Formats: sequence, C-alpha cells, structure tokens
Amino acid sequence: MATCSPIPIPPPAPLTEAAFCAWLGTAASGDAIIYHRGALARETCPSLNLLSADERVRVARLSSRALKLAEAGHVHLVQRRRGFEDYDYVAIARRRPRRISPLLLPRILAEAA
Amino acid sequence: MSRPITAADLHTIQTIAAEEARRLGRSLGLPPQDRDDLRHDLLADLLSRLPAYDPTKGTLGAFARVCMRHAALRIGEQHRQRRRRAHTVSLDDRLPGSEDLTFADVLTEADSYGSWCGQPSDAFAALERRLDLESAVGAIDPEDHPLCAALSRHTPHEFGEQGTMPRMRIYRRIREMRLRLLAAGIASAA
Repeated sequence: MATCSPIPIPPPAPLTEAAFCAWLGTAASGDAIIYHRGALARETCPSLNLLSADERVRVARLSSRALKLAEAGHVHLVQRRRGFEDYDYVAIARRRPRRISPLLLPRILAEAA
Repeated sequence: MSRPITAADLHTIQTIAAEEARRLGRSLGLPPQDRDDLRHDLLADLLSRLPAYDPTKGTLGAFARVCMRHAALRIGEQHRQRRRRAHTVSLDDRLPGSEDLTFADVLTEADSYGSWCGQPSDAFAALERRLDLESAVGAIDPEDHPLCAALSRHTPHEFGEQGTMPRMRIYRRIREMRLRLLAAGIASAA
C-alpha cells in the first residue's frame, strides 16, 4: 500500500523591517506581533558570530525600527521569557495619535460642509 | 475703406447692428439679454469686412446692413444646429413626470459644471485627501520636509546632481520616509 508523505510546509519568511512597518500600518490598537525570538543583545553582537552577516543586519534593523516606533509612541515593546536566553520580543500597537492641529481641523470641516 | 470712420458712421453702424440683433433674437426666440451678444457678433463680423467697403458703390449704412443680414443668417443657422444637437433645460425645470423634483435635485455634485472644468467637486473626497496629507506630514520628520518639496519637482538623481545633499543621504532619507509612511498606514502606490 502506497503511503503519501505530507507536503512540507515552508517555514514562514523572516520578518523584515518593511513588513513590520506594514503590519503596524494596518494594526488596530492592542494588536501584537512577535518580531523576534531569542536573545537580541547576544545575537546582534558581531564578535559572537551567532548569526550570518545578512541575518544579523536584518535583526539589528528590525529591532532598531521597533525601538524608534516605540519612542515615537506607536508601539509598546515587551518581552516574554520562555527559557534561558530565550525571549519573545513583542510589539503591541498603540492607539494612533491624532496629528491634526486643533486650528486646522475646524477649517477643513468648514470647507467640506 | 479709403476714408477714416467718423462718429456719424459709428452711430449708423451701431444702430443697424442693434436693429439686426433685435430681429435675429426675435426670430430665434432668444431672451432680450442675449441681444447684446448677437450685436457684438454682428459688429465683429462687420469689422473684418470693412476693408472691402467701396464708398463709390453705395453708403456705409447699406454696406453694413447687407453684411449684417448675411451674418445674421449664418448665426441663426448655427443657433438652430446647436439646438438640434442639445436640448437646453434649466436646472430649475421640473423633471418629467415629477411634481417636486427639479433637474438640480437629481444631479450629483460629481456631475456638476465644476467637474467638467476640472475643479474638485467632491468635498468629502477633498477632506479625506487633506486628512491623508495631514497624516502623512505628521509621519514624516520635519527635517525631511524640504527634501519632500524638492522631490516633488525633481527625481532623486536630479536632486543629487545639484549637490545640495549627498546622494547616499537622499536615498537613505527616502527609505526612512517610506518606512515611516508605511507604519502610519500609508502604503506606497507603486
């Protein structure tokens, strides 16, 4: 009797800086994403050589972008410990801040009326 | 025409133009306020024909009247052709089969006269565009606003050629702006 081997599921593509920004652009307040798993400080250290050069650049850019967005008030950054030097790095979308100045909005609304 | 036009000639021409315009307007069934337009059309036509006037063959009044009669025939025919092509109605006319509705009631803002002239006609679309712009401006670092203004007129390559900013920095800032806009929910169109 012939047996069918399961179709291998390709591993998900690693999250890039642009994909992370695109996720945030469409995320509602409270949505969360794990943008990295491991130990960022060790893995992005060039002298330890834990990741390939390309992968290290990707992780460094991604974590740097997450930090910038957190500083700009777009996300909360939290970590969840899973084991020894094994963390989930989680970004939680915050409520989008209003950017329209209070002087401009009434004028725009008056124009639309 | 070998002699200059005198005030008396002008008076004659104006009088004939007014008479012919009144006659033409009446035959076309146009309202009195359109007579001035017709008079101007008749005078403009006569002006182009005045060099052919020969005083030895007749008076200026007779010449002007013949020219204006012919012009009136042409203008009248153009009016009739235009009417055959398009049926003119007022926005305040009642819709056929309706007691209350007028043509203006069933025309959307997007179908209005302003939209034919390329003017923005949808106030809500304009408001949404303004809000998007506000959101985009808020997402971009104020330091990059001059760069945005420059990129609206030049390509990055052209701007780099000007030597205002190193080319590497231009492309680095563009990448940063794209990511910031993406994070603000404004995806790239291309």
